[in-house]
Amino acid sequence: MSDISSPSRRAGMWAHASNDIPRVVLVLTIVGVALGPLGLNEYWRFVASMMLIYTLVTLGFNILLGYLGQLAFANVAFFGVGAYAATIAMNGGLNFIPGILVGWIGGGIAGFLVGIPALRIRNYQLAIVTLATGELLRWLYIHGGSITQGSSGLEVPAMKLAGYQITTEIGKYWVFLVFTVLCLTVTRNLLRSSVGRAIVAVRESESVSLGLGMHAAGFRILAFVWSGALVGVAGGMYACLLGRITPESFGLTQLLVHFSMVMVGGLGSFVGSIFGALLLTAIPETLRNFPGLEEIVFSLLLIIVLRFVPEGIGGFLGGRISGLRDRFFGGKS
Amino acid sequence: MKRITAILAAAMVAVTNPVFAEPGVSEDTIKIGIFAPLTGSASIFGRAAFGAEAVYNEINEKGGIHGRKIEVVREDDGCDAARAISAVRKLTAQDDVFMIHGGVCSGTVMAVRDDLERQNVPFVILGAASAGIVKPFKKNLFQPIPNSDVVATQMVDFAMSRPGTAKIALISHTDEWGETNSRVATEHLKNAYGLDISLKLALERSTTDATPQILQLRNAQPDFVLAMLYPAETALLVRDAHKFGMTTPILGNFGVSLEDTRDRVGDMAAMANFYTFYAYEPALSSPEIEPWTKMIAKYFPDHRADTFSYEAMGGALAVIEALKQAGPDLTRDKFIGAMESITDFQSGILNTPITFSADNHAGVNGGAMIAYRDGKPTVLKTWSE
Amino acid sequence: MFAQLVASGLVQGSIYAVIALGMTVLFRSTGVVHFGYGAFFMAGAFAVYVFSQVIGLAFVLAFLAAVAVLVLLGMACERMLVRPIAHGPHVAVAMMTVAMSYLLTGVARFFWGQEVLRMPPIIDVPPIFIGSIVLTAQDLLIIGGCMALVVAFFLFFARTKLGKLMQAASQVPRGAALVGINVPGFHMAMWGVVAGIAAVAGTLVAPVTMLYPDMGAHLLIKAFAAMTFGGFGNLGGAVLGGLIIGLAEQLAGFYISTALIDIFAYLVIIVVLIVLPNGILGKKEATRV
Repeated sequence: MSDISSPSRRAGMWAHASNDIPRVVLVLTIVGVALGPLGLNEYWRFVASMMLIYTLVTLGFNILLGYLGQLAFANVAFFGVGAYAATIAMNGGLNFIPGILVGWIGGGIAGFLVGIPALRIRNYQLAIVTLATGELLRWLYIHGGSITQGSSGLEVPAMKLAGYQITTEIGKYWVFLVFTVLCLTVTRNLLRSSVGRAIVAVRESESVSLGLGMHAAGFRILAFVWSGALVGVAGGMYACLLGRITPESFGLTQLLVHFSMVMVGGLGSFVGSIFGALLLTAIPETLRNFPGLEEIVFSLLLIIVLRFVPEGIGGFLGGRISGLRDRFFGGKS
Repeated sequence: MKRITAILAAAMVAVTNPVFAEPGVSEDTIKIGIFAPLTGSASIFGRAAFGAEAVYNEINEKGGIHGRKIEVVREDDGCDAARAISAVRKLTAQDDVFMIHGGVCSGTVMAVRDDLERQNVPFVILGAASAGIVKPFKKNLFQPIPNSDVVATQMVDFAMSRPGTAKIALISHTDEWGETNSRVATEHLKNAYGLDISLKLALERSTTDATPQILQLRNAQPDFVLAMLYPAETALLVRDAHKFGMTTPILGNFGVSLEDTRDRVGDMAAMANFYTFYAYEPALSSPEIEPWTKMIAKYFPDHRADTFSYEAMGGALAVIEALKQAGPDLTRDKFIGAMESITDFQSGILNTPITFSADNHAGVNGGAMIAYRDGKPTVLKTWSE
Repeated sequence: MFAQLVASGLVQGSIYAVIALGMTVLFRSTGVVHFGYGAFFMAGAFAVYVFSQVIGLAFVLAFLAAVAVLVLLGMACERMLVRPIAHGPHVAVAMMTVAMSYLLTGVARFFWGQEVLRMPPIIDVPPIFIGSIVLTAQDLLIIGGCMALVVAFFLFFARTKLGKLMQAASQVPRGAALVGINVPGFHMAMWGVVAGIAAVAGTLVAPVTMLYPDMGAHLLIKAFAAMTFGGFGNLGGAVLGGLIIGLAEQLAGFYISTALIDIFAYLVIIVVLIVLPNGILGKKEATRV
């Protein structure tokens, strides 16, 4: 699953006329993604924004679970830290962009802090300590007094951007879209660079990568930091979209959603992460009228994927439309 | 010139409002959105949704309001703010409801109330009792149940109504809900009676053993224990108090039902010293509450009615009253005005009448306690009753 | 006062100990950490409830039926869900046990999410006073039952030939296969056995905690703390860790602050794993998956 494709071809995106059709498709996709929600009602625009947020959440989680191959279950912790950090910053008067940067940094720091012990403890012990970290953080949100406002939650101010207040669903969607695309592009380039290959090499064999003179510890920490930062951005956007964050939103149910998105999308699959997020954001919304089924549906889906399609959507797509995929996304990285 | 402007303005209004077009109101229906935790650990409180819906179904059966039937759209929020927000977006943007009668968890209500205020959607609370919901005041938001200020005050007054009460202990969750209730009770005890809480203890959620707390209470020997706890932990406290032979009366909060606590404790002897806040006129399992239980059973045959099932029925009746008063040309503003004019409304289910006004949307300002007397649930306003 | 806290701490602790023991046995014999074990415990409690209260079997029969159902459930999970992916990335196996957990919890919530189910005590007698200590018959049953399970497992692993063989099989599966041990069958059996332990624990505890779908999730964290505390994969350590955590919660709750009880387990996990990754009793062991 490691990325061995050639360096990015994107640089010549507009210059090369030889790849006309995929370029047209690409442009149409971008236009469709950007303008499509105009044809939806407010509710589905809201869901579309949620899809963007979960795309980043899934990709961030996948960096640790799939690319680095570590059982780090602290994703919900990163998500919560990003959301609370960004909200507290914006309540302190920051605009959206610096606010989301605070979420990004907060998530990154959380990733760093979880990454340090992860150098020493692995596998199941790491899973347990990260799980406990997430639950401990949730306890802190509940008992955070005036900082987190306890279980009734923290109010998020209206999104302020360049002197404008963004209150409409479509406005939020467009802002989130820009940030999501930015994060996806940077992450893809990072994963396709030597850094990404090094992270995968660390997963495959630590001793080999050490032998090759790589700083396994450094790459491991980097993966944690970047994962935390991505999910932290998603947390900040989540806070802005909802307008209020509560501790209950960062519990074990949220973790199941993240797990399922990664596994359905496919471990270590960039494109799969996107599809996993889109699919599993849409399903619960369509399941609204069958309360109680969500947990069952998600876990069954997870079991089916693990058992029968272990590579997830990413692997499934990878085997079938690799050529198209290469042009489209520049390789499954 | 002024007259011409006025005429023009009137003409503009006439042009822009050619026909009657209030969201969620049609010739023969009024759409009401309900949201509550129908799943998850808080779904025991979500039962309130079924009581409210039964009341609306009942009025439909009697011919509706001004020829319109109420159409209920029910959504699950799992007591999670994120899900509540998406549920409310769906109700307002997709289902286009006239008003919302929902919210059992304070967190979910807080999460959606600003959005609903912006859209001027009337928002009647289903069961969320936090006093913070109506502060700051929102024109569109009504709370037709006793809120946490009322409950904590009632608990203190009840304890003090026993002659000679001097020491009151308090045991609370350490979350915002528990802290708010504790603060109101502590302040009321100080201001009204000049007393301090003699012992304050914490009991965390999902604890399964209360030995340390009971031992401390047994040492301190208070006259009353105020329990600002959720149902499971209240039951735990009552059970362990009995186990250690503690006979101090324990007073439970609004969120705790007498029957549910009995079922959890499973021992009538342990219930002898337990009292809990009670919002209704008829006692549980009395003949007087039968009609209400039957009304719910008629529309939801599988529903096992419990204390929380009745919680929103008074509010639903107030909504119907306001819809009637708002007249056939129903608009959201008219409805809000009609809600504000509701005064001393006897719902028959709540023991305290509902009163709203233009500057007060906390509608229920009183309550009682309930306890087992000779094995029968008995409503008590004061200790000696 | 102190004696009472110790007694209550031992009751709580022995519950944690049994769950930690079940997880450790499975980890030692198959190399899998079972994130769904709390849900198995919950399923065991609900199974007893269904057999005794819904179907109306006598308690002993209901108990045996519940254990049988859980043993079968455990074996089926291994055979149908874990074995086919056992050679894939360990992330997938961990995820599978997570999925089992959510599925069982989801099913329980679907049927009983709005109800609070009460399990009558196994023996209904008034509390027993030993000096200043108060214990219910159920408390004694929990301590007794849990300790009996612990002792049985120790004897099995340390004294019986089969137990020793099983230990060997888990440490060198390929070698074990070479000398003719049916390793997959052994794994399946162990999944069944630990699921059975969960059912026993669920039966013992349900009358105290009552039944609710999330009852396993809370216990799982405590069991993790116990395992961590006693050194991951160490049978004696898990049991001791469970007892110590039970005791510490009670004593800290009384003498320091009742607010500590809730986060004690999390703190133990984080502090112990970061400061002493091999636990208090642990010895350095090669990481195995």
